[in-house]
Amino acid sequence: MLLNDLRLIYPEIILFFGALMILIYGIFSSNDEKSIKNIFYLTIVTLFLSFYFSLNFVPLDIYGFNKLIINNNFSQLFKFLVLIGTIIICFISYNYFDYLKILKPEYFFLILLSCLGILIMVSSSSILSMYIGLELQSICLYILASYRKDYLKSAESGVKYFILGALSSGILLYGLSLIYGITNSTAFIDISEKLNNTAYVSDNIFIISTGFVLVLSGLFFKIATVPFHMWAPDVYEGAPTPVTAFFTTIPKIGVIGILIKFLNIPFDSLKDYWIQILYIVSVVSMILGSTVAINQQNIKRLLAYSSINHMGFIIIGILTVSHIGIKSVLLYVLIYLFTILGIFACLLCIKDDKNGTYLEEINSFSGLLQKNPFLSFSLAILLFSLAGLPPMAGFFSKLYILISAVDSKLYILAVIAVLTSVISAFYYLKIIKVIFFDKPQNTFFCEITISFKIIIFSITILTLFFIFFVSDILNFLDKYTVII
Amino acid sequence: MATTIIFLPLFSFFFCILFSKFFSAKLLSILSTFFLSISTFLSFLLLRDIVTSNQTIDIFIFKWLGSGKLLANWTVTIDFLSAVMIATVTLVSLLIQFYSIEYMKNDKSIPKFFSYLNLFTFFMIFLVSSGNLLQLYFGWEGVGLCSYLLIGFWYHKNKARNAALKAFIVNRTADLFLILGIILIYLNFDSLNFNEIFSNIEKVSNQSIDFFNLKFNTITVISFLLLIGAMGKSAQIGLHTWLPDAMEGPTPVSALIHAATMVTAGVFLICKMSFFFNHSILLSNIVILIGSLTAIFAATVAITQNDIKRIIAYSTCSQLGFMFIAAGLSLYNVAIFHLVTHAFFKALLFLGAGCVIHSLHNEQNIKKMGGLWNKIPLTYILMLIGSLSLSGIPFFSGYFSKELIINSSLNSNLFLSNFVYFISIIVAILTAIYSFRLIIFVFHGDINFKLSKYSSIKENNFTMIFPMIVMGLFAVGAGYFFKDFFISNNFSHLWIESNIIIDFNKIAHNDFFSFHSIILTLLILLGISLCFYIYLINKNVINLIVSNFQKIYIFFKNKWYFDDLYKIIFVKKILILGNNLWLLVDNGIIDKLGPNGLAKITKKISRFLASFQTGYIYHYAFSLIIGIALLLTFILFFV
Amino acid sequence: MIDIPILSFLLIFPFIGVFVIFLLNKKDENYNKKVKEIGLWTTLINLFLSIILLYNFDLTESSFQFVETIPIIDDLGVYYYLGIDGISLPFILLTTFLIPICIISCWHKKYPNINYLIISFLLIELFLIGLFSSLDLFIFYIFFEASFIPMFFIIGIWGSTNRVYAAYKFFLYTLFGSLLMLLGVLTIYFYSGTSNYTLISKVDFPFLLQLWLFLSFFASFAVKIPMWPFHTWLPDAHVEAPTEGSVILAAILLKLGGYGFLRFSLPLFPDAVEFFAPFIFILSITAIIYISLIALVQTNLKKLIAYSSVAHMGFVTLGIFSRNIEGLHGAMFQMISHGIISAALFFSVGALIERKNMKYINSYSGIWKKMPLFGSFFFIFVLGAIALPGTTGFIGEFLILIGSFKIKFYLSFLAGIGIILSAAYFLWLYGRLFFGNINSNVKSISNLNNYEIMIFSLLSFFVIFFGIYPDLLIKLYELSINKLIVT
Repeated sequence: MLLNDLRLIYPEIILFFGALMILIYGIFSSNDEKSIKNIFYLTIVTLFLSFYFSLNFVPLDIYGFNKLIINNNFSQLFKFLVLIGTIIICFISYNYFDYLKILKPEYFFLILLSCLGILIMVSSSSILSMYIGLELQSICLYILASYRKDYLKSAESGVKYFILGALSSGILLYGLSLIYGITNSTAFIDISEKLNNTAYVSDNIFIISTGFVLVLSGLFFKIATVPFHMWAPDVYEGAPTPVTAFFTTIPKIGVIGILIKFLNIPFDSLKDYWIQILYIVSVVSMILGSTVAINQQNIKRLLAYSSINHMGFIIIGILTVSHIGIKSVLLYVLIYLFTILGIFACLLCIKDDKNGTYLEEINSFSGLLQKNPFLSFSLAILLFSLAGLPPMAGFFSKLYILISAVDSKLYILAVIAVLTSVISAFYYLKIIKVIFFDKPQNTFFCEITISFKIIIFSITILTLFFIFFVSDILNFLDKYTVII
Repeated sequence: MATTIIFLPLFSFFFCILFSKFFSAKLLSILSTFFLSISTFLSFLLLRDIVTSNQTIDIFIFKWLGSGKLLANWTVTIDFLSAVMIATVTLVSLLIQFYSIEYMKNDKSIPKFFSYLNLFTFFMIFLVSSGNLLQLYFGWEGVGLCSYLLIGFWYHKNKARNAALKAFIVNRTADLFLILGIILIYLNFDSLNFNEIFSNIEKVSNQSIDFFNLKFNTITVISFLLLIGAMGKSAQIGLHTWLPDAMEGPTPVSALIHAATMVTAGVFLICKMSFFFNHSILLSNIVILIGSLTAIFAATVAITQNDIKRIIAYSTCSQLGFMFIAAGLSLYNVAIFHLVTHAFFKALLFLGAGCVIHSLHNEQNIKKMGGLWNKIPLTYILMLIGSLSLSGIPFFSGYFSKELIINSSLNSNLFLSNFVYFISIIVAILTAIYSFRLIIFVFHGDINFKLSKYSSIKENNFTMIFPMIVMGLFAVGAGYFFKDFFISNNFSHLWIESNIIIDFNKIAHNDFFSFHSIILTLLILLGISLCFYIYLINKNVINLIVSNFQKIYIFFKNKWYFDDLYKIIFVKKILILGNNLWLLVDNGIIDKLGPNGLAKITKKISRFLASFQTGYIYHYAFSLIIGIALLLTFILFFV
Repeated sequence: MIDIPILSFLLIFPFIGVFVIFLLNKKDENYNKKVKEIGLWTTLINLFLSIILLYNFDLTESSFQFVETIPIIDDLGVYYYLGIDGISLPFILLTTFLIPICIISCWHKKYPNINYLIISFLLIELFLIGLFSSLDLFIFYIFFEASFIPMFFIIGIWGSTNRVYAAYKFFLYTLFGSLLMLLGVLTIYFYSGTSNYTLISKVDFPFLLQLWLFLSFFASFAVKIPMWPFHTWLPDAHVEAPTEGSVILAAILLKLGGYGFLRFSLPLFPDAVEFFAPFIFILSITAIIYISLIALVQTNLKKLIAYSSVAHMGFVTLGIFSRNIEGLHGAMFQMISHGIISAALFFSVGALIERKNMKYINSYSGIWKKMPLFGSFFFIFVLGAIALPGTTGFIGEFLILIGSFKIKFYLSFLAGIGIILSAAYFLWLYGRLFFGNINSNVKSISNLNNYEIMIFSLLSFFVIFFGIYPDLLIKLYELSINKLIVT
């Protein structure tokens, strides 16, 4: 029985053992180039293995560990995205840490562990497993954020993230406990059964909604939507760039996955409550994310705000509660993941001549066109894609969100989305302007290793010619949009 | 033949342009004159054919513009009227080109000059020989263009530049009304073809259109619009201001375009559309009013001017006024008659003036001339002939046409006719006075410039004198020999064939001893003698007059303040307005409130929101709690 | 008719050109020359193809021709659906005709990294042809919005001092408009269940919906054309853009607005057009007079011409929304003729500014003395711009005057005042530049080079030719336009 259930968590098991092996190897090996390389390879292999298993050997739509875990296409897709994203991040982070001489085994250990947490969270079918997964990945992230011990900002961001994160988890947990108290069941389906009893709900509506709001706030904190976004810019700025890349993509995707599940399975009956909340949250996130970013000088901060804006867009897709809405969210997440990773990959190729640090100030990119057309054009295309200009991929993701909005008659929301995307176009253009229009001022050099070349080039090409296979991707997504 | 007449000048225009590099300027000018002489010769043959055979030549070249019911073709349509115009135009331009060979010989850009002249001739012929209104408009604008180019021929002179611009803009303003008239015709007749228009005029004649709920007869409105167009071209009062300034151009140009041919296009238009203008009494009254006002205005101004060319320009203006009077009295044939005679004697006067200026090395102020008559006798005689003909001394060509117009105003039963008669008598006297004032100041009296210069003056050479002689002959004889074509019953069929209303009962057939003619002649002679008296014999009379009628004199001297008025109203005010619109409205309001304003606001908002990002953990935690609180209150109390 | 998909070829060749340019080896010493050659050849091939298109175009057929359909987004039912009719063909020809000229004109100039400039030209051509020939709303929208991007780079990289501001203004302004249009497109899509133009044109929308849709499309086209008061981006963009940029902007990109009105607003939302027409007449008249007055006082060469093109576009909107045969024919003709004339004018002032690098009118005087040939060309273009009979300018404006006269006589009277003003500012400009005493700046000015002579003679030929034989052009669009007439 239990062994049967183990089949459901093959990927997680693989990740876990991979992490353990890395830890052990790290302890017993001298930290020289070679061993680090081996660890790196080990990580990659682990990730690939777990990807492979989750692709092939995981039975779908069966509950395991009495309703703790369930895998379905929906969660599978998120797992794929998370794993692929993690692989790419491992690739782009190697050089960075190597260059800073802080490439330690524990980095990969933590990455794998948080990845494991995300996978558990995504495939969870009970508030318990959901919370465990969430915490697991958060704790790893706290450490990762302050990974550059020598660097003050990094430490600061770690602390900030830890304290606020702990607070939010506390809130989340409190909310969960309230829900449990009312429904005295942890599994999503049981909760939803209880909540379908309208008389019962209306009796204890106060407690239910309180707990519900608390849980939502916790989740919103993780994907950094207004008003729970405050930590994001500081943490993103302080954390090492590859970790920032990780922050902006992987955990958020995981949380979005669970958010959708959480809203649609247990709280299905309280639709008209949470739609209202999501409406507000998405509006304020879009507006704040787009406006505040205008004045940012540090590109990581800017991306933090832009990701707030994007989260607003994604929430539109969620709150339409329709097949097309979920589909648009999946498309958006997919494109967002790759575009952001591509941009970070580009950023990780540019170093300052004098002190050899990686460039972060936007103005310091001036004249990149002369230095390295390849990077400039890739960055331009990716940024245009983020701004949602045709024919780049980003346009289609935005288009789909708008379609789902118009489809469910949310015209005002659509108009706001459009206006904010005009504003956000402004700051993406600001970067492009610096790269293309300004004369070169400060000196920097670009070194692009082969892995970077492959990653950046493939992502750019996919983004540019997305229109040619958008249809196939949509068909592919169709089968993954079933939540239950 | 007709096509040759028309397109030879065009060809010669391109010829002058393209071969200016290869041939010497002299040769080019001679060649172009030669080409023109061919088409002149042909045009006279054509005139003869038409007079004898009395049929209308109609040649279709190719389709120009077709859209919906609108159809305008490139055509050559020549009836008697066109033939007369063509003959006059080609002859005058031929003589003037001949004259210019010598007159312009020291100029640097002779090929340009001749090419422009040819282009003008082409457009003018194209205008008069068009079969539809749109092509007429094409020629109309074309001659305006050439006048612009030729006034600004000495482009380095700023005065010339501004005069050219002024001429074009004033004409453009008038042309707007012309084109609106044409459009209105199209909308009512569904055609721009003269024949179809004239054949359908009965149908439309009692339709009416309403402007701002006021009903007007369509034909009246149309012809009113056309009238304004004609006023612009023919420099009638109010739209005349460009003509005197146009004298900045070379003298042959003034002679050809601004005296003989282009300025008469307006008269031509009115005669061509006689069916329209004859339609309403009101309009005829308006036309004669405009004509007489222009005549008197220009005459009074001409008396006070000192620039030799400007004097003649103003006299042109006033003669055009006479033509308008004739048209207004619906004596279209007489108007054309005066047009033709005027073409010759006025061109003659201008060429004479050109000779004077030439021999005085570009001196134009008549107060700085004098006693030239024995230095340049030929010029003197020819200008004398011109002036006599202009002031309408019997047996000179001017007499026949002008005297007709003046006396015919008695026969007409128009409301204004007596007023017009009175005015035109005065104008006739004034005409005599100013033309002989000019003669006296230039050729008689004491010499008002350096004697050394005086001694160096000599008669201009033959190439300049010869065309003047030819013109002199016409100025003397044209009236007597050609008058039958215009005013005798024997040739009425020609006019009818070319769709022009003629009414011989209205014409006062002049025997020289009829009361009115004698009175008129005597008055004119009186004027001349008076002129001799006050300018030559007893000089202080003129000072007396000036000092007594100071106000009036100043008023006349300043051209009735038209130019100053226009400068203030149109030029200055419009520029100020434009500036304000640009700086205040465009940059000020639209941009400030529009894109820039939005950008600023967004920036402000973003700064404000960013200010929450303090970096203190407790702030962040606080905002987190607040957020939760807000969501809770919202969900609990508002949903 | 021939069965090869010419339209797709028209789209493919510029793309191939871009691809080849990327493949070229930068180290090569005459790299720039090669780049230009590739650009020129690809565009010439396109010109040739478009002439084949014209040759095979069936003038007796008012529906779409050379239709190609390939499904591209299945679950939206979006098709790669191309086809042209008499309205789109002239614009395609204009595009394929002007882009090679632009490349020729930058042949002898020393632009920094010319390769990117050529790429931008090719991309613009690609997007514009796609835009004019696409019959699927989404595809149209994609091309429409994509066409801003190369222009943004052209202004921003090769522009003059204040280029960044201009580029931003241009991009964000047009983006704003077009995103509102996107919402309109989506609404249409959900109402009619398809994005296929031919199917949509059969749907009739309820009145209220029409109003909203009209406004959403209007937001985009009015900014693009541009109508008063949405025009303020244009002068800045023109002043800062390099010559070729201004040419493309004025000659083609401005026409997108007019094309949009003809293609979408008129046939799809007739009642809304009926409803808004008076309002648009007011805007157009304001544009014509107000803008002409502003143009009168400009001191900056390019700004003057930029404002003049706003005024001319005012005529176009006037003609389009009069919706009678003369007005529509006139508007169409005016767009093409303005495409030629404004291109010519911008090349001319570009030729001046590049020689002396001075943007202000009063720094030139008496140029005629030094470059009479240039003077003559410029004069022909000016005549075209002031609508002298016998030039292309006249035909369009005369027809539009008739069209507006049919609506209300004072419309055409006021528009006529605009014509007078245009004569005033253009001839005044000409006088100040070419007449008067020659000044020190002009003394050292160099005469036209062969490229310029070639370009100018080509353009002036068309200005005159369509002036005296417009029928050639009118035949082309007559049938397709006549479908839009409302009696």
